[in-house]
Amino acid sequence: MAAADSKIIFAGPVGSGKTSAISCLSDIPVVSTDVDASDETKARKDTTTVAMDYGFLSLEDGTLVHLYGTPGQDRFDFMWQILTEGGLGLVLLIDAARPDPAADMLFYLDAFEKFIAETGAVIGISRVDLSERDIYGLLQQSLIERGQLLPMFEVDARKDEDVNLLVQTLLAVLSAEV
Amino acid sequence: MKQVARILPVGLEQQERTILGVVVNLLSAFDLDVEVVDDASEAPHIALVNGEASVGMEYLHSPDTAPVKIVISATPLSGYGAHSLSKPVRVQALKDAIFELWTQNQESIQQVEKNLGSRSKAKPQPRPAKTEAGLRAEQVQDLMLALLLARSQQKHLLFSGQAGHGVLLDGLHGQYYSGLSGEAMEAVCQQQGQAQALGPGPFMSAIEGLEAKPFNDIAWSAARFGAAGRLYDGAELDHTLVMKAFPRFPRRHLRPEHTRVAAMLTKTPMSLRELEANSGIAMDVLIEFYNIGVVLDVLQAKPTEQREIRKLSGGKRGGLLAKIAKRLKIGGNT
Repeated sequence: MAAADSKIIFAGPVGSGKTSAISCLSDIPVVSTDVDASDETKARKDTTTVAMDYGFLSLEDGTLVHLYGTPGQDRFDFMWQILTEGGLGLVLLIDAARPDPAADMLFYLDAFEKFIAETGAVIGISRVDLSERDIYGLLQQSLIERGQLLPMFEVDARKDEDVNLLVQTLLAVLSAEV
Repeated sequence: MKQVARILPVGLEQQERTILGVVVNLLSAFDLDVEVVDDASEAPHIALVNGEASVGMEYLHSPDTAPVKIVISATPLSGYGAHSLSKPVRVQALKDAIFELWTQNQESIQQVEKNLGSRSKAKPQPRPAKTEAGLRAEQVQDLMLALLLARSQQKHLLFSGQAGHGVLLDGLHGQYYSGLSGEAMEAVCQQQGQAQALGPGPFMSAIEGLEAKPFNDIAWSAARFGAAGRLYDGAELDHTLVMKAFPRFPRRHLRPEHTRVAAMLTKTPMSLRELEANSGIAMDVLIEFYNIGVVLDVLQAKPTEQREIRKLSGGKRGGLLAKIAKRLKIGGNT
């Protein structure tokens, strides 16, 4: 990575849409390290990302913004610290259809706590149509109880406009640094 | 030293008068207090004329007019020595026009003062309040004002739109009740109407059998039509806006300026003036967002000691952020 280059990190549970979101933004086809799932992940996806997803955005001056999707399974969390070094900010995707989206969110907020404090984050709630519960309300309540204020939207991670909204919002958060 | 400009509205429609009220508040921040006068005999410096009203055209043809005239019309109106603004007039455009014309026409404005001669010279009026803390039900003209009143004073209200459509508002819980379809409700959001305060008993009877829905479902649409950028509940442009929770943005009424402001406030509490300076977003849009935040109970304005407007740096990466925004075709000063 060149000195001027930077990166945006996409995190979230398995199946939350990290790979799709990066695909929406990347100038190149996403380089994924998906392999056959062999554990409980199998129930949700046939393949899963065991290392990372990668894409990039090329800016007009040649600067690259690298887009990294962290591995969804927490047994790969040793990778997360490495990936976030030099990162601009975090896009956290939460799958509304999982059993406990609030617990998922809190897990990732804890895991990336230092990175978020130093940069910024935005939360996208995906697969909302597959849940009958008010997941937005649940997550917002969890954030209030935690005393953390983060932008949050219901999104379809396969749609360019939704992913753009997340990045646009992340940029606005980062721009508000005094 | 503050100056006082006397402005005479001529034939303005209700919405235009509302916008003038907002502008009056904004101009006081630019060391220009405005006194809105009701009669041409009160030696106005500026006339704000509805060019599509007969009374407006009569005024323009009369021999004794204000030295500065601003005509509002759907198509630009030339002549009459007037500055023309297009309908629907925007807060920012009117504010800029008044301020610039006031500055550019000081000579003729001073002549008005001299001509007053022995007549009782207009005395500076008390500085107009920037906010309207005492909103009353009888002042409500649209659903957004009704929502603001219900929420800020935790009242039960019945808002009656046109065609007898009624919406019951529970300001304590931030919920509304209505038997209207989505389309009819959308129409009510953009209509003028009246509000009536209800006691707990009549309110409970009225909502019987109706489903409670959150203010969030209607506030975004209502804000596009109502309240017109006025600040309520004691808030001022210099107060620091503290976000209590990120608002839930509905897809139908998603406005990029609103999401951007909301995102900025999650990182750094700022005043409306600071937001305007750092985002480039028009003040009336910012106030619109603030009003929505009040209705949804996610924003709070806190008085702070007067301070310089902070210029945000975007950290050390401001340039990079702008390049990414450009690459993704995201507008504004990210």
